[in-house]
Amino acid sequence: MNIDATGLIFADDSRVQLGELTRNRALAAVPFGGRYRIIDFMLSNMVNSGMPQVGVSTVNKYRSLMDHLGTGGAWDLDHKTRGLQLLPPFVASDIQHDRSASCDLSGILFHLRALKRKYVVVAGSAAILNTTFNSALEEHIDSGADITVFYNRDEDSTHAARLFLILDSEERAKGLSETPESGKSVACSLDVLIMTRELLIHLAEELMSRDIFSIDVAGLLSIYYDTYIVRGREYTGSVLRVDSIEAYFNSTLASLTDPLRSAIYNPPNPIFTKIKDEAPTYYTDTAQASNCLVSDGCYIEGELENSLVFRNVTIGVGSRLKNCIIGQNSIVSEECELENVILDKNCLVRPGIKMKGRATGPRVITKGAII
Amino acid sequence: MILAGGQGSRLGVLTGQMAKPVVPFGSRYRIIDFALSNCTNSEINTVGVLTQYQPLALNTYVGNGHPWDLDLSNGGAFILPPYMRSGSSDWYRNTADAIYQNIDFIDSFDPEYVLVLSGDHIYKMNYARLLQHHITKEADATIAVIEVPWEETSRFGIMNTDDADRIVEFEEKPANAKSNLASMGIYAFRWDSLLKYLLLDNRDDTSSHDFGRDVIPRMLNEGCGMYAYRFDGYWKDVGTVYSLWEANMDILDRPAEIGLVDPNWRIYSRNPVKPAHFIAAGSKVINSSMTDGAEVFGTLNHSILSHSVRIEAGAEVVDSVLMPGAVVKSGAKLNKVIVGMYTIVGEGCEIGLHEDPDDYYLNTKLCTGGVTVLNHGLTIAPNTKIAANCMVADFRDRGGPDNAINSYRIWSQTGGTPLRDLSVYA
Repeated sequence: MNIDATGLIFADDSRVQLGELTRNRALAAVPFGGRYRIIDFMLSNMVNSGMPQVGVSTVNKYRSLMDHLGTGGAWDLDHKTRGLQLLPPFVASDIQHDRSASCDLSGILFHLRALKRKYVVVAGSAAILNTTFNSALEEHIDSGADITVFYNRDEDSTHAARLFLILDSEERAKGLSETPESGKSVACSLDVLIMTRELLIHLAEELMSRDIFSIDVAGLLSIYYDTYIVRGREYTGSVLRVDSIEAYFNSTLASLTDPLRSAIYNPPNPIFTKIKDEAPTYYTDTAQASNCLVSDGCYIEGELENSLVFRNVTIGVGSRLKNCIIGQNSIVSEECELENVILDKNCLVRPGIKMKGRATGPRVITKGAII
Repeated sequence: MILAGGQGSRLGVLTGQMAKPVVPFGSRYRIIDFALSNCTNSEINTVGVLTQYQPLALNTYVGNGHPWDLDLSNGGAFILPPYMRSGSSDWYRNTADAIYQNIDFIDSFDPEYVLVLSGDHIYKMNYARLLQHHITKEADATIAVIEVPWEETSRFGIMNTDDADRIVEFEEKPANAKSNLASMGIYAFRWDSLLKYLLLDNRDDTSSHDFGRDVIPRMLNEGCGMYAYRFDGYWKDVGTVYSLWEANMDILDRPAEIGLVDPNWRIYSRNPVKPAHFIAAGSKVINSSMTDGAEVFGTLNHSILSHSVRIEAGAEVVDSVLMPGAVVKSGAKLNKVIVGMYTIVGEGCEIGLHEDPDDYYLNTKLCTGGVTVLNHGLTIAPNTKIAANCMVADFRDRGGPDNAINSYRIWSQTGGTPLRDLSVYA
């Protein structure tokens, strides 16, 4: 299972804002799927491919990310030699630091130079997929391309900022577009790249020589697609996009039902995450649940329909929740009615509260709110 | 020092391939998680786990102690099996002998006090308080005791104490008890005192080398300072099928007492790395507890599901305990059943719903109170009916029926899928 590659994850994406969910945390640190953060999926993909070193580049809101990742022990990345490396921005007075944008290149450069493996898999955090990169790397080497970019052909194209690839018959990228041609099956980037570590070091150095200190996956592609041989690789497995609130909400609800549920949460390779050691979840005699994913440590007295519940949540007696995402440690008191609502962590909904969002625009309640 | 080497023969087939302390309990735990977590929460960070009987599952489970924060450079968790010596080699002959054979291990940490704990009890105790009591009383030994109902005193080792809780007499399973303070099998010793009596005990050819039967009475006879430490929380010895079932049901019926949700006293366990559990449309789940990886499509009432358990549509599970990976196929009905790990109950089975004095699997010696046990790794043929109080294993080699087949003799200890189906070689 060993692979001659190392991993690099961009925890932020300058194009993606999930409103309240990313107000205080990096995109990669946004909770997903009941017991995970978005980064768990890509991090597990890399670990399951046999990468012993993964760098995580982040811009500014990294407290939550650091808290989640710790020393990387949950992913078996707490090695003596590097293992999991968090790469926060390097801030110094003599470097003009672009605060508005994505991830800092000097930290990435330093990290890449310290490694030995020949290839690097670079991934963004706006798409969730379960895969391993072993065969993709072999294919990349055989293809002779400088850069391989993963894409899939999504039927739905919401208004989120996405990067579409214009490919020739040999899958070589001939152009990029931010708006898909209507009515056509379009190749939409998954923000996963494979290239040599040497090339990425070269690109980073060149960008810095041009006074560009921050970059993300889409940025790399847009700058270099016509300088290098960039080859598309269609990914045919299940993908959940989380590049807008609407996409996050739709992806979560879609993932409750098979075959997506099994494909995303129960792949052949495990998805590792931080362990919380909560007690098992308890359903009382008034509880009802239908098509729901529920995490450990919950106390369910009310009714849940088509909803996702994170760890250590209480749902009071007589409360009815439909199409909801309930964040960790939140309490929904008695006799509440919630529909199309996303509650972030540590929220308290007082008795009798009724809240309803639209299916196309869920109500998002900020972390720690008391309603 | 956690005594975890016992066979647990009263659990029958459940401990056929694993020591009792590693038997799954309460949805997401193994029995030994309680003793290990108590140590961590009491800030006792050097823990020896004495193993002997069927150690594979236990050793793999405890590992380096990481889930309990016991993977330390200075101290930590140590698995202590019996081993070969240049002179003679012995299995652990009994509880006291197990500690005797590890005198060097204990001495290497140069402790002042040693706690001897049992790996097969369900309880939450702050050992630091027990130790403080022991130190305050300047005792040679302190024994944790719990008040038991007077009518049950004949099942326990009973401590008779004076007004200052000094133990004046110890009676093993007395017919007419003078006290209802039962020993919990939890001891604090001054190491130099214990060392002396372990050496004396080892030289005594008439001794059975048991703490309760030999070491404690000898210390008492020779005038050691022995005190009782009263404990009044939840405590259960899950040594029998019925008590194992009952302790599982206590999670549903007496949640405050068993206290699994207390964030200040977590019970840690090795995590199976599974997704959140799933409750399908059309299912019914009441009065039940479950953990990651469970999937319910059927009806569940007053039951405990471990990770990766699947209850198919149309199945009805009542008052039952399902260990990791158990599958109940559609239309099957279970009542008061303990289902072993990775056992598959076929379509339309009825387990534990009726009484039948002639059922081949009937085992009223081990299975009481209407509880039925299905061994780990069984495949129960569709539409099989098995009565209450049965203990079901693959008994074909003894001329038993062919409706219970052991398909999985080996499975992943950390909780994945069965590794190999050995039945193809049978």
